[in-house]
Amino acid sequence: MAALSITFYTFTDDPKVANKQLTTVGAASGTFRASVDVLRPSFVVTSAPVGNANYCYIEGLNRYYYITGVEKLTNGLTLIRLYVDVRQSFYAQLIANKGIVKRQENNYDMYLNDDAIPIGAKKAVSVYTYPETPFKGKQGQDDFNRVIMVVVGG
Amino acid sequence: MGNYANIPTSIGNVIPRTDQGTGSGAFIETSLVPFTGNVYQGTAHELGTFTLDEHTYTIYHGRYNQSPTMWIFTDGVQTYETYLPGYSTWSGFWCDIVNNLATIYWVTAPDPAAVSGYSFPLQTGDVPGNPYFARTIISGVPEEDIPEHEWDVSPSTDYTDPDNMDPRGGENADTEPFGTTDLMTLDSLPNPEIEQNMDYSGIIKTYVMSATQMNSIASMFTGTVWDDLKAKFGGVSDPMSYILSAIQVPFAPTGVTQNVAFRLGGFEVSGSSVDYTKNRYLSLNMGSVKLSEVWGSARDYSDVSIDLFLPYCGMKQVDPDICMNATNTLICYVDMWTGDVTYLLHVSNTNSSGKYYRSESVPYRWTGNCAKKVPLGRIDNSNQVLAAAGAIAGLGMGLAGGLASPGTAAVTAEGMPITDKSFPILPTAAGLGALTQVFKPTVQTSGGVAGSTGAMDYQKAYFIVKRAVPQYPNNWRSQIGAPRYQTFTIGDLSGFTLFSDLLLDDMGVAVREEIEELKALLTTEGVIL
Repeated sequence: MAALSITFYTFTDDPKVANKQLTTVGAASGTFRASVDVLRPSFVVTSAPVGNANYCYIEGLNRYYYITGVEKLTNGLTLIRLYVDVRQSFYAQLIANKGIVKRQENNYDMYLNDDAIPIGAKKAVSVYTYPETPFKGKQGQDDFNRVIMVVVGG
Repeated sequence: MGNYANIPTSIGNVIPRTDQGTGSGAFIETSLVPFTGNVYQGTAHELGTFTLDEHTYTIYHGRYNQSPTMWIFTDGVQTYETYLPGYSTWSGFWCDIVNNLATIYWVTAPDPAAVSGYSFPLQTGDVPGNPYFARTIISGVPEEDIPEHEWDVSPSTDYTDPDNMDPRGGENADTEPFGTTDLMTLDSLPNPEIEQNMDYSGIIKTYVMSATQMNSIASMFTGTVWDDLKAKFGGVSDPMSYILSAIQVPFAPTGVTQNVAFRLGGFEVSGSSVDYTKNRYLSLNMGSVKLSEVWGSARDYSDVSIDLFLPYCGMKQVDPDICMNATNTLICYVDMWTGDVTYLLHVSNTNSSGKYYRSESVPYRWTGNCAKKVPLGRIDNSNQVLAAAGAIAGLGMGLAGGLASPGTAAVTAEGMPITDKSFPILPTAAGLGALTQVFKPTVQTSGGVAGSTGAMDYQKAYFIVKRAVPQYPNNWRSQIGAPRYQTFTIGDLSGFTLFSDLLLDDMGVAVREEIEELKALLTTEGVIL
C-alpha cells in the first residue's frame, strides 16, 4: 500500500463548523498494513505523536477525521480510532452546490412562522383609542343629549 | 410629452440608452443638465429641480439593474437613491405607482444627512422632526420603466441585496404578475351627510331640543293645539300620534336652525322655542389608529388577537392579517331619525414586502343604535323606522280627509287605529293603506350596548390588542437560525444554516455513504459556514 502521511490537529470549534480552525500538534507517516475503512479507519502508531490531538488529516485518503478513540497498547503502541468529518472533508465541493435553506443565521424571513421559539402563556395587552367620537353625552353639554323629535306637520 | 428624445449624449462615463419608448402625460421637466453622478446603467432623466434653504435638490429618474430608480442630488452630490415602486431604507424617498401614475414623496432638510431613516415614517405620513416634505406627481411614465412587479429575474449575485435576490420560493416562482388591486381610498367612501340628506321639512319636521326647549312645548297640553287638531282632522283622539318618534341622542346634530316655534300637525304650540334640522344623516371621521408590529415577525400576526370596541355597538373582533401594520380609519354614520349607527373601518396598508405595495379597503362594517327612547304618546315608537316618510313625500299627500287606518290595523270607534307597535301611526289620506311595511332598525349589540345601555359604556372606540410574548434566548440565531425557505448557493451563506433539502453534485472522492451522511447532517444538525 502507498505511504500515508497524517497530520494531527486540535480544534475547538463546534463540530458543525464546516471549515474549522485547526492547530497542528503533530504528524506521522506510515503504511496501512491491511485494508482500511475509509469512513472509520483505525491504526496503530509506534510513537505518540498524537499528544492532545482530537483531529487529523490523512493525505492519502484526502479526508479529515475526528479522533474518536485513543487506546494505549503494550510496547508503547497506541491505537487510534477515527471517524470521517464529511463537512470538513468535502467543504470545497459542498459550497459549490445549492440547497433549500430552512433556517439561517443571517439570511432569514421573520414573517415565516417559527415553531422553534416558544411563546409565553401570558399575553401582553395594549389599548389604542381613537381620537375622535361623535358621542360626547356629558351632562351640562347642551349640544349633546338632545331629544330628536320627528313630527308630522311641523 | 414624456419622451426621452432629449437625452444628453454623454453623462460622465455612462453610455446613453437608445431603446426608451415614449409615454403620455406631462413630466415635470426642466432644462437638462449634465449628470455627474454614478448612474450605473442607462442615463438619468431629470425630473425637476427645486431650491430650499440655500440647497438645490435635483430629482432624476432612470434605471438601475433593470429596475426603475430615482435619485436625489443635493447641491450636485448624490444623496438618495431608491428603486421604484416602494421605498429606500436609507433615504428619504417613497414612491407609489398606481395605474401607471407615479406619486413620489420625499423628505428634504437643511442637512440632507439628517434625513436618513425618514423613509418608513414617510410611508405613514408620520414624519418626525422638522424636515421639509414635498410631493410631486409624474404621469405618463413609460410603461416599460414600471414593471408590474419588481421580481428581478437575473441571477442573484449578492444575496444580501434584497433587490437582487431570487424570487421567493424558488427560482421559477413568482414570475407571473399577481394582478392589480383597486384602492378604496378614503375620499371615495360614501358620505350620507352630503349624499343622502333630503329635506322633508315641508311635511315632517325633525326638531332638536334641549331640556329647556322640551319644557317649552309642554304648553301643548294646556293650549289649543289639541282642540285645533281635533277640529281640523275630526276623530283624532290622540294628537300625540302626530309625534312619530322621540329619542334622546348622545351626539350633536348638524344642520341645525335655532329658535323656531314648535308645530304639530300644522298647528303652532304657543310660547315654544325649539331648534330643528333638515338633515337626517351625520358623518364623522373618528380618526385613525396605526396598529404597529412589535416583533417584526410572524408573531405579530399568528399569535395576536385584536378586538375593537364600538360605542353603541359592542366589541368586535378583527383579523390581524388585515389590520396589523396598517392605518385603521374609523368612519361613523348616524341616522338622526332613528339613532342607527353604522361604522366603516377603512384599512390602508403600505408594505413593500407584500404582493401589493399599497392597499386600501373597507373590510369591516358594523351597525348599532344610540337612541334612548323618550316615552311620549301612547305608541311605543322605538321600533319604528321612518323610511315610510320617504313614501309619504313621494305621494304628495295632504292632511285633509281624516285618518285612514293602515291596511291591516283595526280601527276604534273614533276612527283611530288601535295602537300596534309594528305599524307607524300616520295621518294618511284615504287610499294610503299600503303603508304597512315597517323596517326595524338593525341593532347589533354585544352585551347589550345599544341605546340606554350604550350610554353607560365608553363613548370612544378603541382597540384591544393581545399579543403573545415569544421567548428569544440570547444569540439564538447563531445556534438555531431563523426561518427561511429559499434556494441558495451554499458558498454564498455564512453562519448557522439548516437545510430543508439539497442536491449534492460533483462531490469529488466522496462515497455514497458520505454523501448521504452529509445530507443527513445538513438537514438535521445543520452546518456553520
